[in-house]
Amino acid sequence: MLFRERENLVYLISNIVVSTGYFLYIAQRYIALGLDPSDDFNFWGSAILVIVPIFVVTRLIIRIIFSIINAIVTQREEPDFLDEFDKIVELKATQNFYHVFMFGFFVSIFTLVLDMPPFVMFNILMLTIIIAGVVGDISRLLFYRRGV
Amino acid sequence: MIYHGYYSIGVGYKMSKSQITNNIRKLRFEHNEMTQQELADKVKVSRQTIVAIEKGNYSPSLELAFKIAHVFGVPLEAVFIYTP
Repeated sequence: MLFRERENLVYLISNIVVSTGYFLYIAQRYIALGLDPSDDFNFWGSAILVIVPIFVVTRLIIRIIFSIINAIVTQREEPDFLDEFDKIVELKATQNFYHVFMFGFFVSIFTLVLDMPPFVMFNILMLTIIIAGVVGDISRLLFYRRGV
Repeated sequence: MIYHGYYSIGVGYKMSKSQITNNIRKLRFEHNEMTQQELADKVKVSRQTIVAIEKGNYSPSLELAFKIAHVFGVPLEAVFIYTP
């Protein structure tokens, strides 16, 4: 397995672990607080906003740790630039991310049309962000392994 | 909608695998058994990219193709072969 494949596999696993942990934490907190439906917007709005910096910071930390461990194990310095192949893989993986996200977004909006409580919409939106991220990571991994 | 290179929704076709093959591996061995990393360093890409090109999983840009041919000192057609 080459560097980018290993790197994306690590990102994928960390993404799943962190996302699942965060989602379970938020769900437990929501149940424990026993909020009024009118407070749903405040709670879920902040929960979704916080997930973005969590993903960014986690990705950064994982990247630094992985680079250090990889350098120690392989005794090789990997390129720190993105060449044309990396850019195309990133482009296509991001495309897949957006497709999944848009689908989930419309599903979440549709729950409002069905008069479901707001927390259902927010849950679907949060799950959409998580699943889209996972799809993006899996796409990157597959493109690196099988080509574009 | 049709996505270039992807399955189209409702039609379900995939872009055919690359019809361009290459002799990069053979040329590397003929040039003092050049490694993939050495070739990658010369053309300023990652080893991952060279591996993908050799396996036929990625068709390089024109610029990169010319750079690779220049490294081996052969014409482009000696490196990449197009099969219609």
